[in-house]
Amino acid sequence: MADLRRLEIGAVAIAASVVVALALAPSRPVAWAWVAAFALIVAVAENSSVLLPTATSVSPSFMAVMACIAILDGDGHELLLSAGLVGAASGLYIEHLKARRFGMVADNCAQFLLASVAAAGVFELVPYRDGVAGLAVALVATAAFGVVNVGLVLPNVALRHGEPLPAVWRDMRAALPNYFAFGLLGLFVGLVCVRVGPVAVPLLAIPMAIGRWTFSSFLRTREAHEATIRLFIRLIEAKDPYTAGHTERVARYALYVGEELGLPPDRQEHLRYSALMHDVGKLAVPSRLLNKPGRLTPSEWEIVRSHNEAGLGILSRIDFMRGMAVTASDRCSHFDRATEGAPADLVLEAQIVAVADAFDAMTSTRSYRRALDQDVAFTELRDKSGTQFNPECVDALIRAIERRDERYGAGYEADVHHFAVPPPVAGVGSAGLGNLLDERSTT
Amino acid sequence: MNAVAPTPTPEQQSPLEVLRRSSVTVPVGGLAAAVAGGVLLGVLSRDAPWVAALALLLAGSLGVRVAVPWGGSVPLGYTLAAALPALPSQAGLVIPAAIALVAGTKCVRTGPEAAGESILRLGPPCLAALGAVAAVDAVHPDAPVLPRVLAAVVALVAADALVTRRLPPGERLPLLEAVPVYLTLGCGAALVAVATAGFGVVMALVAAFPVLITRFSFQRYAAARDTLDQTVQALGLVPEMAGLIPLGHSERAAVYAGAVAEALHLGRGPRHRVVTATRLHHLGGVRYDPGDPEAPAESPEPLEVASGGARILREAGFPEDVAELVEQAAGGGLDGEAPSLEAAVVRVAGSFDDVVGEDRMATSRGLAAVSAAAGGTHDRRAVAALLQATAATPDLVATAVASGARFSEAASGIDFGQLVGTGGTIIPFVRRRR
Repeated sequence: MADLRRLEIGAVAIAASVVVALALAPSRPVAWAWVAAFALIVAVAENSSVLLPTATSVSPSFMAVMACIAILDGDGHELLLSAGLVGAASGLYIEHLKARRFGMVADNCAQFLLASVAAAGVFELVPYRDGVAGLAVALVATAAFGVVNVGLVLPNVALRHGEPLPAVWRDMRAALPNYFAFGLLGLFVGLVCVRVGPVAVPLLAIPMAIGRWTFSSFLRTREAHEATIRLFIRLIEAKDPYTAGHTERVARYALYVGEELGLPPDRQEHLRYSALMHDVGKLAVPSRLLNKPGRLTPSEWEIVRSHNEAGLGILSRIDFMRGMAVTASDRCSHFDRATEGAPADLVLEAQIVAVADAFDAMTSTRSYRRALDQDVAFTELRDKSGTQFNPECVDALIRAIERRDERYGAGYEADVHHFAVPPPVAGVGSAGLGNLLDERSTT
Repeated sequence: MNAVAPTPTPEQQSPLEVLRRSSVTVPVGGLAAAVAGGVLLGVLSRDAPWVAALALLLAGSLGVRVAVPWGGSVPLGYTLAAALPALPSQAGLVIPAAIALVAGTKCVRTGPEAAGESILRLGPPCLAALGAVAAVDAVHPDAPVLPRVLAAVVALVAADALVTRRLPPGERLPLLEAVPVYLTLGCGAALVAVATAGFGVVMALVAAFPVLITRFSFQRYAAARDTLDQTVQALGLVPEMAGLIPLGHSERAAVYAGAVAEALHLGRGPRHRVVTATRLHHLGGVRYDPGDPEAPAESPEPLEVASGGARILREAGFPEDVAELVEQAAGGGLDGEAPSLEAAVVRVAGSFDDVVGEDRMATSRGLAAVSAAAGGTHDRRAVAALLQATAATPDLVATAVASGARFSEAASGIDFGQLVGTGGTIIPFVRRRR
């Protein structure tokens, strides 16, 4: 934290020095009316940013800073100081002020001020404004803002959240194209304002406001969807209370495997839903069979199988559930079985979930058996690798857990149930995987 | 045995034969002739490459749609179609050529009917934009770009609204909900026109950026809405999968609830709420598993099911208004007050399907049953609206039965032959760290 404080103080000190230097030597008058108007716009824009579930945000304030630079550029007024003061208004985030996080406010104001001065500096230094050369100047000015902004935010975030710099950079770099898009757009609006007057402002403000409203609605809808998925999970777990917490754990392990296999974000997202819903077929299975202690008879097993398949068949008629129904079906999860023409993506997803499901089943206590040791579970997965389980998925899961230095199974269970009759150390039951157990696990 | 000349079946008819018999032959033919003449003139002029490039760009963008979150979509190309007439762009050639390109592509891919349909859908709005700018020019020959493009936008949107009003109810664009999309496309057209006139074509690309961003937002929001609705639909199937109620009941009842809500002129929000609550009104039944030896032997009362369902929804953080509707539909959570009209719709829709089920011939019996309870179990307004909806849409019951049947047919398991795509997924948005 001491490093963070030093960084913040350093940024603020540099910004203050820049302001003092520019204020003491103004070559041209400052357009205070423009500065005040744009500072207000920038502060409002920053405070109407859309908060994302990941504690990050998107805001159009940068665009307003660049629009201000484009308007003040060439009208005979002081540019650097004006741009800096307007940019500094981006740091006036009301939630931070309310929480009395003044250090963070000062640091944000300072870093935005320096970034804005850098962008305006490019315009001061390079005289070209028309054609391709003008576009190049605009791109360089936008890049200058981005470099200073990222350069100051990166170490700050790394220190504040205790994350390594490369990890923060990986997270931030996806947003870099936004700098160019929004920066150029801001400059463009400024130029249009100069040409046709303030009527240009609503032409941009309306689509951006609609875009913001749509995006907020999207986030709210997404939250409602998550609540619906949670509801599904509750229903599944209510049906089979001994598996509480199971679906979330399976989803976590499945994402470990997906990450190891380098699946892109959208497939990871689908994999997560599939893993969360992999037991959805249980909703069609009679509870007395699901919760039966001991082995099922062949006729009972057939009832479980047919009900499960019927439930998945019904859900497969809904577009969103189709992929999940396939993943949840036994027909795709076995590595050495034909997959009846199912899409390759879904077959892989089913095989990932099968490995994650088996690992969690072995490392958690069930009504018919106590949790096994993690090493026993790994050995079982390796034994069935290439036959029941996809070897790549098995290797990926073991690698991911070992790299994270995590420990699951006997002695490390997160959700421990208190059964009326204590489960035996070894046994088989209706939740499957009985065929994975042998003498090694009975010790 | 006499030899008889075989009568060609629709499948055996040649494309020309189909076109000749089509109701859109005259407009297609007329426009094709006009386009052919226009393209010929364009080819002969020195602007031919420019006209061809713009026509290709416009045709491509007319094929890209901006989703309206509550249903339907608007072509992204309307931005360009409104901007071009305001600029020195030979829009009189470009726009018909682009529409002809879209129609030609449709004709090859789908058939002449689809080609005629796209001409009838895209033609009037785009030509209205051309006409509006021509009218402005007639009054003020030196009018600046901005008023010209605004006139084009207003004319285009008005024509599109009129065209979409003529579509069948299921395909009709919800105009009020489409306003943000139209506004975005209109502002985009104005920015593109002003940028091109003032700074050249390169800046037009920058000006198009807000429209593209907003299209992305609309697409994602529409996809998220669809995904949520489908997940709720799946949730409504849970009691059916467990064998607690007949397969397809929630889906059929939801169709009736939507129709009744529309007959009552309920707004978009209440209508959606009513359909959602109808899909979930038996959810509480899952607490009473008949196969569970520890469950009560007797079937639960509807009020218990409704209260149980509302409790499940509340516990999961589901919107309170839906949970309330589920509870009220069975008479719960009222504290002596009469159920709301929305709750009455849910109850009527469910009761009607309880009688009709998959038997379309039982429609009259179902209507008689709910009518007999009007003023008692059922709200008179909701019953009257159901009668009105079934009279106004004679195939309402058939539609509902078909909606439910797809689930009962699927009870034999997953049909792998039907696997096309993996359904909607929600993809995380690009983010900027504060």
